[in-house]
Amino acid sequence: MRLYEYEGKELFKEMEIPIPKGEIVLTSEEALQAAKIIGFPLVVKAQVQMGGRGKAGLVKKADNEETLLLVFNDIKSRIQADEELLLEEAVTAIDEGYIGITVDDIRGVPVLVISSKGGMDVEKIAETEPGSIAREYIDPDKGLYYHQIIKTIKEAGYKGALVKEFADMATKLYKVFVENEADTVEINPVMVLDNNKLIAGDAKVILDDYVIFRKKNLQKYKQKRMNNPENNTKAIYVSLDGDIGIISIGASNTMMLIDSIDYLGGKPGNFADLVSGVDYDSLFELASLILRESENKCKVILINITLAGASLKVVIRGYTDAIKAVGLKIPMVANIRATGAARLEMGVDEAVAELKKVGVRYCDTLEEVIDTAIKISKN
Amino acid sequence: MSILINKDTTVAVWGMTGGYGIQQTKNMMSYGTKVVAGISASRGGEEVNGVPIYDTVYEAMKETEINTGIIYVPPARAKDAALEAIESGIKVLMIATEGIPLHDTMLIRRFSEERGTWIIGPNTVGIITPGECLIGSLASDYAIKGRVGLVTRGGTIAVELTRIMSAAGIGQSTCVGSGGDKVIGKNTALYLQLFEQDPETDVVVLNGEIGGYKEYECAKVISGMKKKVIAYILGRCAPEGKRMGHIGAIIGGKSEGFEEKREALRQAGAIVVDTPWLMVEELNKLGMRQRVIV
Repeated sequence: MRLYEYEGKELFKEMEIPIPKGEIVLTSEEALQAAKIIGFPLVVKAQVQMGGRGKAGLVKKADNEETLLLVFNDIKSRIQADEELLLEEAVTAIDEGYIGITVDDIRGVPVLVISSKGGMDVEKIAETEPGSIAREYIDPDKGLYYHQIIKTIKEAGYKGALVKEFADMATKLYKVFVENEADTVEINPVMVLDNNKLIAGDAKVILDDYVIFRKKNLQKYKQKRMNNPENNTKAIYVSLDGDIGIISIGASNTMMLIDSIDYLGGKPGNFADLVSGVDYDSLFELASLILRESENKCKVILINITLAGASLKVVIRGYTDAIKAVGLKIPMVANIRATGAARLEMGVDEAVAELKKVGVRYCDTLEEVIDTAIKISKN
Repeated sequence: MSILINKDTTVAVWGMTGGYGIQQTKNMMSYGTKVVAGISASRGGEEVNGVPIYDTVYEAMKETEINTGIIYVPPARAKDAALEAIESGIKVLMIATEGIPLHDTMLIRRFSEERGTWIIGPNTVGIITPGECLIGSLASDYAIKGRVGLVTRGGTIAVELTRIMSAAGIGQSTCVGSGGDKVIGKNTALYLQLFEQDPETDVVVLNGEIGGYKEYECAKVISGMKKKVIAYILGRCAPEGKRMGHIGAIIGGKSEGFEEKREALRQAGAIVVDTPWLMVEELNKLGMRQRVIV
């Protein structure tokens, strides 16, 4: 789960990383109120999760109340109505750097990355200024030692008093990473002030979804995202442009299915997968969501079940109950494969009979069900 | 031979007393896997599926030989179970649990490397050597003995590809899901190396996906392999906007995307396919069809 800038800065503040004075607002009245606390000049920043906000005109400066209202309304018109904006004191930097910590998926350890060229996307830095980047791999058992940080900062090109300032900030950022058991934490830009002090210009924090159950301080961020179906806690739901709704189990198998449909000339309408294990409630909820979302935009829904571990009986119950509850307004086709423990409680024949009872057309093979769904979608 | 498991594999299961663990163990035993102990603190002395339960793996090891472990415990307790298994000197450990915190997995992997434990997973469907041993839930009804090695990142796709191969009369030496999480015990590329060394494997199928950089490590290994590798990458339909620019790109210096991974694998010498049926076609061309299963 990726945090918004202001949420990331909340975590920074807890570890005493310096951040600009700021307030989060929704309406222009709140913005005027916040400006009284922050003072002018200030910066209005849309809280959207994309790179290049500045170029997209979603970060703008205001010198007085009049320009604040203009800037605020302009940005407001280009984001969702319920999206908040961050107002921050305008900070003048004489230079910009970069500090990031993430997990390297190949080595399986955290890595500290420091660059003396901040302010642009890290990929851009790597492309245009590869010599400005230094990295240090971290032993997850021992942690990050101070001397490693100093070495990395010097390799990135810093000298003199700034070395200690960067080391302080990197030490605190590592604390944010460890205490929150995060996936990624980045400060970009690290703003260097004329007195050699540093301040975090932006915050990018990606939390590990799997850790939130034991982190009370992070649970509010999850709560906040529950309203959007794409941020459902029990499942991933991604809407695609196509007209074939997909109810399927397992991320990899579902990807295989939608890729194959696309390869064979059909258009998949969604990608969905359960996150927190296969239980009745999650299956029922996700299938209901897909049924409702597909009603208007799709011509057919394809059910694809490949099971080896989870019980086929639980899956069939979840799906058929969802169909009964939501109703079937467009054709639905299905194919099932089950092996091992999956078919101990219910066999494939019985599962097929249950699906047919609620009006689902059964196809005997995976190839046939894909072919049938594509044909229906094109009629 | 085959890789990692065979008919001499003896297994302890953590989490065997839970509903899911009971079902999986029953299925593995009916396949012929030698499950010799269940490990559940405070349940020592009981029996499940006719297998004795011990409070710790050390007590079990006093009475029976164990070379392989399986972990079915919930995410919050998976680290403790894994560290117990690693400490005990178990050689191969399959961690099925989905949802283990990333920082826990990093520690598990760190200690497994120190102690020389081969970890399959976390978040894996397991491993099967057809006719000899099943660890986990990888397609016991589908797998047939043959000469194709399969390694995947995802779980359900391992089951599906095994099924589709067998339906086309193509058997497998070993099939394994290396694990779906960002950090796994042994990277996908390391299984390619095992298959390259395995005298019972002629051709390897690699299934990768978008996200992360593990496929580039695979490409490096493939470029040095004598055996043919068929590579199948998932994620051609992943919407562009869902992939976010990411610090990882400056470590690997490469893209996490579909096309880039396909191209890197092709350049490394892999035969790249886009559907399971094209995989079968290529396996047939390489003479891997043994018999037609009806």
